[in-house]
Amino acid sequence: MRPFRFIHTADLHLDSQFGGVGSVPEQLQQRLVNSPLRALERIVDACLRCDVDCLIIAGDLYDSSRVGIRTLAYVRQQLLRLKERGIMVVVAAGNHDPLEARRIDVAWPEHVHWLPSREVGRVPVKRGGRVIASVYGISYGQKEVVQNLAVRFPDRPDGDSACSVAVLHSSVDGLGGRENYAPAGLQDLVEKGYCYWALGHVHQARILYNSLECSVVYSGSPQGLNSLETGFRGCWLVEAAPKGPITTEFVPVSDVVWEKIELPIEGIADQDNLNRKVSERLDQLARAYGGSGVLVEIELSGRGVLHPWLNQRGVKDELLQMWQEGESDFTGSFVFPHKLTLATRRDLDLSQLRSQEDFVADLLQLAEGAEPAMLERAAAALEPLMTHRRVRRYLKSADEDALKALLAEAKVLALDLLLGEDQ
Amino acid sequence: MRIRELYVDGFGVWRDLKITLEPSMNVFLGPNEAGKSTLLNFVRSMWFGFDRRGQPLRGEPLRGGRHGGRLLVGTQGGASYTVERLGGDSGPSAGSVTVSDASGNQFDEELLPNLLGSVSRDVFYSVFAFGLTELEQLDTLHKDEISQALYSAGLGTPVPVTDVEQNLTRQADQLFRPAGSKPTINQLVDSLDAVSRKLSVLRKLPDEYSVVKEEERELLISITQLEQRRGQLRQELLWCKALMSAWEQWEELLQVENELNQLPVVPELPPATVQRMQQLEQRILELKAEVAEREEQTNHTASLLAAISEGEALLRARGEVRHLQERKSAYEKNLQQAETLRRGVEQKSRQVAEGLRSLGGEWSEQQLMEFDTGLQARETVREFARRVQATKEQLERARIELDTVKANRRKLAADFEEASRHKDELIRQSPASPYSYETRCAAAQSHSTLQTEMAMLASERDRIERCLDALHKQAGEPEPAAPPSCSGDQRSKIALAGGVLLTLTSAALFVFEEALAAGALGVLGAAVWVVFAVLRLSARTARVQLTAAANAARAHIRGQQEYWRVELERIDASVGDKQAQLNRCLEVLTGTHTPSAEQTSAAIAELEVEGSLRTSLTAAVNRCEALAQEDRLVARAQEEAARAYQDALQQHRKAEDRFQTWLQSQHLSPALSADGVLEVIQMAQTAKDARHDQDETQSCLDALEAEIGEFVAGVNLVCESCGRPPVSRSEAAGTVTWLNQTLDQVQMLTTELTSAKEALGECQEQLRQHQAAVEDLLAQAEAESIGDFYIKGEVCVHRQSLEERRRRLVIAIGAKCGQWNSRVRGELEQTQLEELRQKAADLSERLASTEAQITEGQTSLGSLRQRLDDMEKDEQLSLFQMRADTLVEELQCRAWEWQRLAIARALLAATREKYEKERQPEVLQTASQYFRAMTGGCYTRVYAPVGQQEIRVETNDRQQIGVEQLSRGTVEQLYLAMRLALAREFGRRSVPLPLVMDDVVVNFDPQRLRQTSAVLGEVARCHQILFFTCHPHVAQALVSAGDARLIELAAGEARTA
Repeated sequence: MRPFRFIHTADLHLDSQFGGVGSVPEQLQQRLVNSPLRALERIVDACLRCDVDCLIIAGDLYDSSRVGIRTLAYVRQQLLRLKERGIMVVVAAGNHDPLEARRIDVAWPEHVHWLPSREVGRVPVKRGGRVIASVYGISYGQKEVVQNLAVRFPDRPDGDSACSVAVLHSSVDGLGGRENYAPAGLQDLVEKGYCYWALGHVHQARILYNSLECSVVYSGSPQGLNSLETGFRGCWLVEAAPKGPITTEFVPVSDVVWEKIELPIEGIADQDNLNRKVSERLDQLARAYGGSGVLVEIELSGRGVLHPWLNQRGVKDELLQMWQEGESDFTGSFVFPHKLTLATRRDLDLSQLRSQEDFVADLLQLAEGAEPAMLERAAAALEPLMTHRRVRRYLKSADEDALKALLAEAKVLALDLLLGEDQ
Repeated sequence: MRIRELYVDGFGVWRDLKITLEPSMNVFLGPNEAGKSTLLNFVRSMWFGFDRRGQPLRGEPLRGGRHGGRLLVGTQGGASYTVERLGGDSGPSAGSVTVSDASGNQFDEELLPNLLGSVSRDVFYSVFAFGLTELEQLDTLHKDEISQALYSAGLGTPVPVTDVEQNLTRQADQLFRPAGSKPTINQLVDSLDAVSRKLSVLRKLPDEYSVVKEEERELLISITQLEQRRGQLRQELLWCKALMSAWEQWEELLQVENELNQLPVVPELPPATVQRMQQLEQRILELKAEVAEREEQTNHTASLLAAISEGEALLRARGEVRHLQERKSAYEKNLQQAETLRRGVEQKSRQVAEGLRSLGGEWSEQQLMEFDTGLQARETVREFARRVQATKEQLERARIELDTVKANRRKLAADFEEASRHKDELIRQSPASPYSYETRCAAAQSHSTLQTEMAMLASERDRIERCLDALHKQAGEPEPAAPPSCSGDQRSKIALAGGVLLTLTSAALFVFEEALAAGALGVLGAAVWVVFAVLRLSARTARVQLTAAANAARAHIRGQQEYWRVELERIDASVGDKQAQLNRCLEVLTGTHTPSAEQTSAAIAELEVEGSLRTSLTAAVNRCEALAQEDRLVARAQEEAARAYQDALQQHRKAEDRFQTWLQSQHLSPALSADGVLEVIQMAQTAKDARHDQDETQSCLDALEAEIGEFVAGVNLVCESCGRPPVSRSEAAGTVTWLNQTLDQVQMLTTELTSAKEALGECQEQLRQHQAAVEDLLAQAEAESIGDFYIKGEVCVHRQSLEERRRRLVIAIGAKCGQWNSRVRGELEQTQLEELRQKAADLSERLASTEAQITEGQTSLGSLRQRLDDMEKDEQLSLFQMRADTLVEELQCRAWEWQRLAIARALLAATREKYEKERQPEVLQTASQYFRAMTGGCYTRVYAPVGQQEIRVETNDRQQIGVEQLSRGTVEQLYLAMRLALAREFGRRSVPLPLVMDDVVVNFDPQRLRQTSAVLGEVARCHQILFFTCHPHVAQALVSAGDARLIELAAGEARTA
């Protein structure tokens, strides 16, 4: 008999906000907005293509309980495609979309099973009228769950008669942040006697444990949601038999890939050289992610002769605009630099400057010392912006670390200006 | 550096003034116009030169003496120098400087900057030698060297801090201003606010969606209920209408049922029983009539049959009679055919006899029949005919060919005869000469050539004679010797003429192909040209050279004349030879040694005519040879044609023989041609065909005669059985016809009788059956008579009719009401038509109302669903969220930039404060110290704000104030303190120079004066001071402040107090 075959995904965060995306053309905005939905569509495509028995979504299908109507309708429409082929859908609610915070009651078709939040639910998966596996799992009722939900799962529920798969949105062994996301220990999970733990919450796909009897896997987010979630993302195609080995295959589904290029400016003599280097790196990305859309953040770093020119007002925007000019069609594959970050430094001998006992030395001493008085003064300097009635709600107040970082950058800026271009 | 002594030779009011100075403080006290300022200017001028002439401070001597003087200075290293500067009307306006050391060594002016520590004129005038006017002017401190010392010493920034601060402020302002609207962040916030407002509206959509969804659900339930109600109403209305439509049948049904109840009870009869009884009665009557009719017919037929006597015999022999009847028409035809055949046999017999006659009397019938007339024989004859014809044609062609060849040969013989005649004619026309034609032709050719050569020789001889004449003329000209009185130009002309002459001669010889002579003369000409050129320069040299050239030319001409004479003799000899050859040629042509020109021309013309005759003769000979050749070819052709003709003749004869042989084998006449044979064959074939036809016709006739006999025998046999006499061959057919007709009549009567008897039996049987049936019906109806039967039958039929009507009515009602049952009947029984009408109207009204409600509900549902659909497809929330995300990102980036700028500004401000406190220039620190001392501690600090060329002071209560806020005296004290500090600074850097001050403390109060004197006393330890004042108290204060020499100035003298 064919093993139990299913696709494991989680953390689609539909209707999520996109963090860290710079100013992008309207057509690309639309592509980005639709990319998580497109990832879901590709997951459903994969289900149909691979003829799976079940699709498991381990939490955070939606980014929040305030999910858009269009998104809800789209999800329903996509899951209905699986109904025609008799593919069951098991969904757990995560910390982002807890069951009790739902605002819209969607009439789900009978093949879609939302796992309960008060107890571990069981969904038998049938093929040809016979139960071939059972999916156990639990949803989040509220946004925060401090209890270890894993302990509520029954031990070896089906013995050797059928595959048992567990679905949990959880922070295992402290991965994925704080203690209020159903914290659990990896060993606890392994000892429960399930052949596969379909986990959600951590956005980077990773296999925590893999043996003949049990696999513990985070599916990761199938579509990167911000510039930090770089690279190809996807879901897992899993085959599991009650006594047989568990095979997992990663299926990439992301519609748009986030990437970051770090380019040191050491040895780059002029703008042509810089353009060529950037162009080469963008071409490399285009080859690596052929067929997908790639959003690239370019960070120029290091010390070099280009630093003063790069930090002239307007140069950064002009450069980014120039590098963006190559791409205008965002319907197919593309490589688009959406953001340019300057982390370059002037080529200076700071120790020599510090030893000169002059104005610059005093400035370095104040900035690098970062004494409370200086930090206080820096914080006071930010007040016009940070306390501005209309601006403050869009900005996070700068904590001490942020202030120190800003002070360091201010030091670089002040040095650049004081020393002029000749230095 | 200190001034030990100053000596004024003449400068302003001073003349021959010598003052020895103390190394520290020297106070010069003198009344107004005593010359204090003049001494200040003297010191300045000694170092940096006099002012330009006419300038007020130039210090031209007013009391005599030479303009200038000297300074005796001592350096820190102990060396002494004398700096002497003297002016004058002729020297430079700055005066002439002499620097010498103690040993009398002279140095040039370049040593002065070394002595002054490279202090410039401006700095010296501003810091080291100044009066009250300079003191009060702040801008005298703004000279670059001084400013650098005051403001920038140690700042370490190539870009001014203030510029940087302004830059930061400008950038920050472009990003954000709290009350601005255009800066980037302000605009971003505007955009974000707008997007947020839109987002908050869009985020309420889920609530609205839920509400609409609930509305949709409720509406759906409501519509479902209405549809159920509509269904019920429709059913009720349909029921009501069905009852109404069945009402007429219902009333009829009630009537029928009433009638049925009133009818008497009779036995149930099957349907149409009464009609059956009526039909039976009618049939019985008909059958009785038919029986009587059949009986009469049977008797009549029996009587007719008995009247025919041969009836039975004929019936027995009916097979033979019928057979004869069938063959009768064939018999009649046979009779006619037999007659025809008989005539045919006779005709064929005649044709055979005729054919044999045509073939010839010797032909018998047997021979005819044996003669082969087949296709093979005919084809053989035709083949013979073709062969004979072919050989005959071939023979004819050979004969024609032979005749043609013979004719050709005859024509050739005639042509040859003609050509031979023409040739002989040409031979006769040829002229007679002892020389052959070819020899004479060669002689004519040589004659022509020799004549041409002799003409050329004559021409050559003429040319040589002309050359000899020319040479002779040259040799005869006088020697070109120049007379002593000959001018340079005339000499030049003679040389030029000689040169031209020689050159022309040379050119002529070259033209006449005498290269050697031409070359020699060319060289000579060139030499003459050279002589001509040289003559232009020196007449004497030219004359000598010309003479030499003329001698050489004469010698050369003589050589040339000799040469040409020899050449002329050679040509004459050659002409003689040619003439002898020509004579020989003429002899050959004309036969005489000295023919006339006409004879020679006639001989040459005859030679040309003979040439053309010879050409024609050659053509005629060739023609004869060609004709002879052709004749030989034609003779061969004639032989071949004759041979071919003989062959063809032989073949033809052979074909004729074969044909004759065949004729003999066929017993035919040898005189017959092939066509004749074919005709005989055709005639024999016709006779043979006639003989065959005769035989066949005869056999047919025999067969027919046999058949006729057989038929007649058959007829007689039948006649015999019927007792009739035998018949002849001609009567047989009529007899057969009679027999057959009689047999037909007998058979018909017998059949009629049989069927009449059978029909009678059947009628009688039917009559019995019908009567039995009538009895049965009576029994069924329990009727005693037929009349009773009919009464009961009518009652029964009426009942059945009513029952049928009732059944149809029930079916009709059932069809209209869907079914017929007790419920339907009960409903109909319990209601009235009017009630039903009322109820139907009521139901229709309610149904229409319900329909309207449903339509309205469905319209609402449609719009709700459209709204839901729109909401489900609306991308705005996502797109606005995306826009908000990008705007927030942009805002955060710009905010970060602004924060960096703001903190950079704060950092600069903090650094400035620290720097201004901790890192002011040494000058300002020293100045602060002096100023504090001069003001008795009222002011604690002098400082320059970072990046600004401005001096500010700090009071002892830490107030920082600008110079403009100080009193005049305090300002002078501040500036004095700063100058003293600057002098110290310069002194530290290079050389401590003397300070020369002209009454700079006049505005100081006594206390500040005292305190300032103390400071000056302190300064005088390092810097020699020359202090001029007109105020004794000032002088007293200074002297009392320390180790000072007081020098009084008055009446052009200086006296140490």
